[in-house]
Amino acid sequence: METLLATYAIAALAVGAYAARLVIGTGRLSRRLRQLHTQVDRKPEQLPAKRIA
Amino acid sequence: MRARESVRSLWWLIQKDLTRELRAQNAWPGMLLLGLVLVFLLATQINLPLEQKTRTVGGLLWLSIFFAGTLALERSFANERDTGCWQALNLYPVDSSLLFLAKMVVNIVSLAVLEIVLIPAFIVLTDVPLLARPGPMLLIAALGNICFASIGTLLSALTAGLRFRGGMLALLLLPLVTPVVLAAAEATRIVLAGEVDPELWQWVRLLAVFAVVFTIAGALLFEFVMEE
Amino acid sequence: MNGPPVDRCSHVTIAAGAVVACLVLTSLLMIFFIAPTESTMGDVQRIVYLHVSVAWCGLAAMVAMGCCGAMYLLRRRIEWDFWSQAASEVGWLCATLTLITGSAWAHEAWGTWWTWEPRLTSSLVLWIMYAGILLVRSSIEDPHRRGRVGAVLAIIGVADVPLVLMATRWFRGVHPIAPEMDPQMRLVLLVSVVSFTALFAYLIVLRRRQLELSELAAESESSASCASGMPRLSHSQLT
Repeated sequence: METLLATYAIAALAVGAYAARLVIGTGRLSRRLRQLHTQVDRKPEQLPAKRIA
Repeated sequence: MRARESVRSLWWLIQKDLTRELRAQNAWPGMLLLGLVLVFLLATQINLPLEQKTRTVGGLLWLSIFFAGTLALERSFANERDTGCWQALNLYPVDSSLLFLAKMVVNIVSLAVLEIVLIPAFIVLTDVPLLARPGPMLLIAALGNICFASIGTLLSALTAGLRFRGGMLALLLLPLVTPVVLAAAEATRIVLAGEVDPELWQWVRLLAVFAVVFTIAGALLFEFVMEE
Repeated sequence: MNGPPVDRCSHVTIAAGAVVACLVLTSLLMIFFIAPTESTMGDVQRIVYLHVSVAWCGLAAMVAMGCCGAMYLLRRRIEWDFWSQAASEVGWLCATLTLITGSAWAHEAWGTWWTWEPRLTSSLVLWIMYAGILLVRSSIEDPHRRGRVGAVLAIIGVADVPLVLMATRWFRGVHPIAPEMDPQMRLVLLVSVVSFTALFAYLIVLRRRQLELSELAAESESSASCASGMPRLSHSQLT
């Protein structure tokens, strides 16, 4: 019985960890994209002066 | 005629590689040395009665050939990458499948050379009469070579440009040639057992199917590999 | 410039996620409470529902990877490689779970954690294939080169899997026979397979979405850094 429960628990943990990574990673990327879009839409005068590398 | 030109190109490509190998001796010495070291190590470890040795030697032989052969396979494209010959081959006005077949034939020859050295070495060190039935053994060796060479040529071209290419080739090749090693080892065991077993032909058929599938796959996929 | 495209999909994604979660929950309830207890092995036999599901998903993911790889080679659109990458990761996860569940089963059925039984052997070979493909992919920087190499490896993998299955079966002298299964068990098995396939397919879709967003973010980064100090260049001028 322990083997059965342990097996299902391990599977749930593995899948859960992968899914959590996906959800968190996608959330971060969406936020970053939204940030970048607002940054790009601002007029040049509004942006801090930046040195061109 | 196009067919005749193709055959001529193929022959030229094969000759070029074999000549270079015989003159510069890039891959064969290392391959043969590794093979002999493996045979020696394995032979010292199987200190068993002859009957049991006969059952295990087939697998050990094919593993030695696989590992030593991977060395030669890896070198078959590595040299061209390093000397800039890769780009020249890409420009050569010949179908990529012919390039693949040429390399595959050269690799088959390399594996045959390896077997010519390793099989007698095994016979001497383990007293197992591997060549008691030379006909079937030759068939197994020939098919095994075609199988290794087909998939090995494709993969070695693929990994030639990567970091850690030698390690990558062995890592990728090992699981993919599992059916070949299993089939060749089992077929060798049956041949050595001396029976006329229908099971032998089942394994030989598997080797044949593998050889056909991967020669065709290699010829078709090679153009995508050569793209760089 | 249009608003970020990300929000449009999230409602559908959440709804689909809820459906998948319900399916998986239903199948788990059926596995533990509805499936009859097997006579010889007892409760531990319930591992088989998970084992068969993940084994099937591992194989299906390999086939999906091969098909997406082939589509990439034909069409050269990077989106196909995103699908291939996602399938390879989820496939590796499934292969790992197949080995774990198979090993647990072997321990309960035969008292040993490992045996060279054809299914376990071919699962191990599949696992190594996945691991090798993922390793090679991660070592290539250029996305199109990665797509090309990944596609060729995936196609070779798909061609090889049937041969591996045949060879390992014959090696142990086992010929495939459909096991006798109670009809209720068969039902639970079917539900498990369907729900776990849905789960892993959903994970693949999520992962592909993440890869796509990652690429969009990388493109936006380059246009944002240009816009802050210079007249904005178009994407084609940047690449």
